[in-house]
Amino acid sequence: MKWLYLVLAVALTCVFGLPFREYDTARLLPIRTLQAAVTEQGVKIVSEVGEGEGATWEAAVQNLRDNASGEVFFDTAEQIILCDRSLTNRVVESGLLRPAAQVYYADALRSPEGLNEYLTAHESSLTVADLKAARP
Amino acid sequence: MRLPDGTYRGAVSDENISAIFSGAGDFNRRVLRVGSHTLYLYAIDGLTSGGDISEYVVKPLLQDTAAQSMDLLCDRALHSTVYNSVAEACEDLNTVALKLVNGFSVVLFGSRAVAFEDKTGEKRSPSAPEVENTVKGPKDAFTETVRTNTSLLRRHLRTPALRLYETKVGQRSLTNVTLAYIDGLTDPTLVERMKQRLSEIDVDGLVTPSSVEEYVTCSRPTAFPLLQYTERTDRFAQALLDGRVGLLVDGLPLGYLAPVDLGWLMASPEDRGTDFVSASCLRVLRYLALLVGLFLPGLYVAMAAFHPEMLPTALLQSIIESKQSVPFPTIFEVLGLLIAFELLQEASVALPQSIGQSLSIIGGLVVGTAAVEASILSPAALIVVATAGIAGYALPGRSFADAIRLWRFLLAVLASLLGLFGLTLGALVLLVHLAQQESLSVAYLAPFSRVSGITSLLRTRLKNQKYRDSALHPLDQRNQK
Repeated sequence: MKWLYLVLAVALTCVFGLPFREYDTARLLPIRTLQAAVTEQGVKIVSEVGEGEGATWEAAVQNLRDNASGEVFFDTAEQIILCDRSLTNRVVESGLLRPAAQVYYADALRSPEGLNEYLTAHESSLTVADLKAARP
Repeated sequence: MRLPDGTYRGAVSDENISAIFSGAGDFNRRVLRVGSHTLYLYAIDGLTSGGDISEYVVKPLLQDTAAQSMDLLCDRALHSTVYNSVAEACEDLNTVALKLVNGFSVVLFGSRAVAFEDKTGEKRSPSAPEVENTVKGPKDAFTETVRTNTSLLRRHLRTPALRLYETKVGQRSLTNVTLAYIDGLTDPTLVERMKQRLSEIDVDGLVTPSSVEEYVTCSRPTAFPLLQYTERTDRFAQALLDGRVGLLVDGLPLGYLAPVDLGWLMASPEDRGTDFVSASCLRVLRYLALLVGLFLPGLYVAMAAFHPEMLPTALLQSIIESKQSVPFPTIFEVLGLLIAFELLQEASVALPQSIGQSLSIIGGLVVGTAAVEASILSPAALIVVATAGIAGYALPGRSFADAIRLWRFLLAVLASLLGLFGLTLGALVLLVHLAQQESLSVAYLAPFSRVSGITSLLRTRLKNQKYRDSALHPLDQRNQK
């Protein structure tokens, strides 16, 4: 009888869902390095899988997703380059990047090609988690 | 004449004995005239040796013309004239029938019957183990004849304390079952419980391995084996020395051992054939194979479909690239491959060895490679399922490996429904399930319930194995000085 309860519990959990989702692996576009800059239109983000632009950080992310040929996957991002310090809070608040992602500050957007390898060789001591912790 | 309990009742007479075996083409009956007396000789062709009966039973009987009465003739046959080493008086009709089906010839002296052992020498000789083969170990595996098996066992264990309790199980098969243990060492409770279980088995026949396993273990609802089997006589003998009990069943080229726990199932006969360092390394590798065989497909499904962020990006990128043109989701891909793997295995088992090998090559290499090249399967999924399958083959016990196959599938299904949460849930259920199992009151996870449980992963030096496993409650705890 206890097995029946267990099966029922599992079935209910399946039906009502869990706080994580299933991905179609073949369509995933994992990001390794993300760059963000403030432009005249608002915010521009650049990654290996494409670019996005919008009035706000959220709009730029959505634009990147819309333009991509698959499902943009931010959870693999290892580095983020911020070309404007005013973007720091937005990035941290969005919760889009994993806490271990390293944060770099730069003056301008760079070509994404070979950027991940370069940044991996030059690690930053600042992470998203550090920024989160430093917030008041 | 035949009672519902399978025994025969009635007078010991020619009519009754002939009636029991009427219609049996291999039943031989011969009338002998010794002086003025008429004797009847019965034997079953194939079970007895015709030459031995003629030479050692018929010839001395026919030459004994001096006996004045039938009783005297019978007594002389029992104690002097007949040469057979084993001659037993049969008190009732049932004994006569049992003796005949067990390779005895029976001579009827009026209303008295005497059985003479004339078993035929036609039986399979012991050969090298086919499944549990080792490089250095002995090459005498059990055969289908229980008496051959007991003799092999006696050659490994010369102690007079070796006890071989014999009984018959199966109302119609009347299978000879021998319970082996060492007197003064094995816990008498274990022996009594096993005897009781054997006596409680009420079936027509005990002729297949599963019938032995299920009836002896009371048919518990689990895929995990609660009896260990071995075809190796040295392994069987060592288990008896450890304080376990053994079962030998006539007709099965196996020896069963009880109780059993996970530690014994993960031990290989090769462990005692090599030095303790190599054996320990191999044993750790085997446990690793157990984990890989059990969890890898489920882990791959959970990681690829639910938690890709947990994979290193380079690995995720490789998986994504390998799946670019595959039309199926990861879940169906892995579950389909697991089913295909099982199908291939079943097909190989059912075919003769030479064709089975060809099937493995065609199925595994040709079809697998073609499926990957045609982008029906991703190489990553194929590698994962094949690795899990190979890891399953590294487990020493076939029954245990089969249980792992089943749970591998269940865990993959749970992982495909609920990701890592499902896999964890399945692992917990499996752990609880294993913790619930007992074999003759010994917990299945007994090796890991002790403080020194981690040492079960290793094969300790033999000179340090001073005490027998306390879980078996052996009467003699000490293994060596």
